[in-house]
Amino acid sequence: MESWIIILLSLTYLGFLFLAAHWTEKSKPSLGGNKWIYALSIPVYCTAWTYYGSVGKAVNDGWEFLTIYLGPILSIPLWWIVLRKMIKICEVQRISTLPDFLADRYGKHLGLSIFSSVFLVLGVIPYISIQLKAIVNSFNILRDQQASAVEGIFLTDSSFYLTIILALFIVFFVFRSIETTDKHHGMMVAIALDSVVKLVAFLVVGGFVTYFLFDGFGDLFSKLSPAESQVFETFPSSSGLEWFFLLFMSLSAFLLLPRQFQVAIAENQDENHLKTASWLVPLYLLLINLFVVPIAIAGKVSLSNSVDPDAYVLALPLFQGFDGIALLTYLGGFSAAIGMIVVSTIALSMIVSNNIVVPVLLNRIDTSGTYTSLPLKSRRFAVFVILMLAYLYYKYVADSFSLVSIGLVSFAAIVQFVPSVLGALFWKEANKTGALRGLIAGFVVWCYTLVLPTIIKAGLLPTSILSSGPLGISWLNPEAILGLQLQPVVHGTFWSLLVNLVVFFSASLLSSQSVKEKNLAELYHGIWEYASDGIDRVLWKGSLVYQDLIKVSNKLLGSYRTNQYLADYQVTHGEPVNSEGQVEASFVNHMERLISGVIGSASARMVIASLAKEEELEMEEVLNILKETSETSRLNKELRSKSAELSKRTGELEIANARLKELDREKDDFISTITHELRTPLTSIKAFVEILEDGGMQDEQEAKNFLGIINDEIDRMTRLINQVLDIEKLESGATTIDRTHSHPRQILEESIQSFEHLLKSKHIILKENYGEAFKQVQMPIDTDRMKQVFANLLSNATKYCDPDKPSIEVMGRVEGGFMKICIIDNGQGIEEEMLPRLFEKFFQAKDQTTRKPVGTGLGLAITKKIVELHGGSITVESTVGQGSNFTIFLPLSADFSKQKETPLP
Amino acid sequence: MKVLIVDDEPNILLSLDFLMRKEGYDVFVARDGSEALMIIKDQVPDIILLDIMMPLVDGYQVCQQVKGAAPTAHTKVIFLSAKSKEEDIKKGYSMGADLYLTKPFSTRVLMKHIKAFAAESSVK
Repeated sequence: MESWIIILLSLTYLGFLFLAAHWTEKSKPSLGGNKWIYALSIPVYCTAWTYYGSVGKAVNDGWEFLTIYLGPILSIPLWWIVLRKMIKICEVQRISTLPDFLADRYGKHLGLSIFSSVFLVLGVIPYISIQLKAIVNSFNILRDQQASAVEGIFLTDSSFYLTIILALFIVFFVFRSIETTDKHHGMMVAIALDSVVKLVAFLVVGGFVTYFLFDGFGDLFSKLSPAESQVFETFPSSSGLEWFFLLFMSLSAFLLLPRQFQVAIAENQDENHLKTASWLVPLYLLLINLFVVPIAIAGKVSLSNSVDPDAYVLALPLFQGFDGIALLTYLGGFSAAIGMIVVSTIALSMIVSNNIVVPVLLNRIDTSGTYTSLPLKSRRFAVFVILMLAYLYYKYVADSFSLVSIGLVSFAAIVQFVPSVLGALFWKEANKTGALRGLIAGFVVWCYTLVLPTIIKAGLLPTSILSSGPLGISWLNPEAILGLQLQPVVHGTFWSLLVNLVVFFSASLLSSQSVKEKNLAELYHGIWEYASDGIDRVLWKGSLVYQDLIKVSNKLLGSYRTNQYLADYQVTHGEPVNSEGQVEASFVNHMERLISGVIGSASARMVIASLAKEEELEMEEVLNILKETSETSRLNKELRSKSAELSKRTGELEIANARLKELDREKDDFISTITHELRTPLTSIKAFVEILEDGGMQDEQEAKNFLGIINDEIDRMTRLINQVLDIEKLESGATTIDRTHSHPRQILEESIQSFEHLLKSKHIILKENYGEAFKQVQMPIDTDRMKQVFANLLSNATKYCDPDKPSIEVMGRVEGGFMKICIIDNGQGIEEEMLPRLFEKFFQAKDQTTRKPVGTGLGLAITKKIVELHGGSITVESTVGQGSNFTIFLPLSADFSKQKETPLP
Repeated sequence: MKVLIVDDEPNILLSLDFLMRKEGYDVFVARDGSEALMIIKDQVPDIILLDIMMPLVDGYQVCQQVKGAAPTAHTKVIFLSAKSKEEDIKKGYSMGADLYLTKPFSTRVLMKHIKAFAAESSVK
């Protein structure tokens, strides 16, 4: 295949990623904060090592390759406990890299941050270099249809140009912002796309091999000779201990590798995105491994032994003459390599810049001049350095090893960070000394057991060290310490982690934490508790002049950002910073965290320490601030609840006041209605009295009629006055109801009897309809009052029933603990909108839309009151044109607690 | 001399009816405002004795219509109302009433005013 086609395809793909990232950075709202983008960026874990190397590993070791993906899948339950906590801490403390995470927790120790950075870089550079190797190898296979011929170095080497292009790509498209904690939306979208491309490409080639070149899984397995198939039949092919360690390594790497830390922790925008990732990521990992074994078998069966198993994926379509599929396969591998290189280089460059370059340079810069571009420049510089180191490693070392073995050496390096990270999260007593010494010990053993053998195998040291031990001491053999026989990687991991753990624990227990460190230990350990109320729990004591701090901030962050942060501070603290003289501890902490975001926590600590006259912290003070702040927050909570209560009380008072005013107004209304109601009969009385005095009647009868009217009107006034007094007494509780055991039916019948004359004279038909239980029931009732109620309702019924065919129905029932009496007329009914107000005092007198009724307008109000004093209720239903139904409910075993009745002696 | 009496209290209506007939006036009675408006469609009373608080169409509305329409513009309107507050009385006069008496009123005082209005209208 022509080189230019492959180069053009690769450059086009890079351009495509660049445009996707560019477009994301420009668009608003950015796609970068999307949960799908987040979840799809995490499979940056799957590199060219996965893409090509899994097949190679499967050919040699059977199913063991799966451990690299089962580890991450097993890690998912830990996400909610470990990852979420790390995300929260990084958000609060403005941390974006693993060494910053450790340095911040372990006393901001510069040595620790530099050492862990160097260790990470050394651990990961070989890993980057194998991506370069994968790209170059796949390029060569595609071009020559055979493994690579050796090329020159630098200017005569195509992989050198590839490295330069990648470096430029990263420098220009990612590093726009100086703040490491700023999210890289463009990068995230590009990586998510990358994940999709490599998965699709691998599934296509896998499907092609399995179903096109062969007839599915069964066919492939049947083609293996018994000797060949053995590797896939023993499961697992390695010992349990080896499986356990491989799982543990991949699990740790999946959480802590710089590129994983970058996408899963530093770029996380919402911890809930973890939920989407927790099913999408395992699904992705399963899919991308689906065709590994089929391709391995297909390669073994149909390719010659001279083909490197790592190249099977590409060789299978290529050697069968399917150039298109081969190109797509190459593109998938290219994208897998690119994704890993981009994210790892970005993460490492921030690590190198924050923890090595800036601290060293800070010591040298003077106090004049601006350094806002310093972090950015140092990061760009770091990108070139890292990629150059990776290139050199690839050129001189990597060629001697398979993809997987180099990858696993990196994993073993990452495992060394597990004790100090878990200690930071869950063990308050873990300290700087333990973390640093543990890491160093782990590093030394890692170098001895895993790096030294690679150097030996590269031919740089005598091989006798591996065969008979250094200086002939066989128990010190780097690959068989104390004679332990395991896979080299598992062996190295086992010893380095063991030594690391022992040193970490013993050193932590034997030395003590500084007060400052104790402070951060508490914060890390209890982040959920401390981060919830937004109170600063980091203690700082000393004197620092505001202008000095601002000067440095301007220098490092630029005045624009500094001013922005000052505004932020005012928003979160409710008041501007006091710009005169000394600043408060909370402001120093605020600025220190912001500066950390740009240059890392160890450097930021150095800067603050150089500006301020810091005082030693007392352990008691730190413990106090942790307690005090929770005390303050408790007090604040109390204060808030008190003030809420106060405003609730005020509200209640306002309601009560309004109610009083309302009552006052009602009283006024009541009085003016009564006076009005009194004036009306008085008018008639006065008129007729004057008429009778003045004479002029036709006869004696007319005069008698007039006297009769006067009498009626006087009765009306009397009734009104009596009823007003009655309701007043009932309402004020001045009158009580006097209950005796009685038959409601008897009371009802007595009331009806008193109407007999009226009913007859008006020809009203009365239907009485009583249930059996009602006929028998006995209950405590104020007989006279209840008669008043029945009389009132019956009187209304006689007044309002149909004039042509007047009829009234009286019903009595006992239903569910209540006595129910209905008095139903067949009159014209009451309009629905009036029903709710029917029982109000003088409702009809006040209503201006109907003719005034005969009566005082207090009857129903009194009725309702009496029923309520019996613990019952009264309702009315009415249909216009058909009549009204007044229903009384009285409880049989009356609960009289609502009454104002005085208890019997 | 035509007198229209408007009130929803039957006994008040009865007493005023008696008094007007005694003077020999032609009497029309209405039980509410809408009845009163019906009557003045084909009668032009010289005097209207008008209650205020009545269902549907109240006395104020009747007064306004009487004073506003050409044929009845010169009809004298006397409010007879239990509303005795100063603002109610002012409102009555602002509607164009010629007299406002609060209930209970003296029939003698009422008659004196009616006679005065009657004399006025007979002069014309």
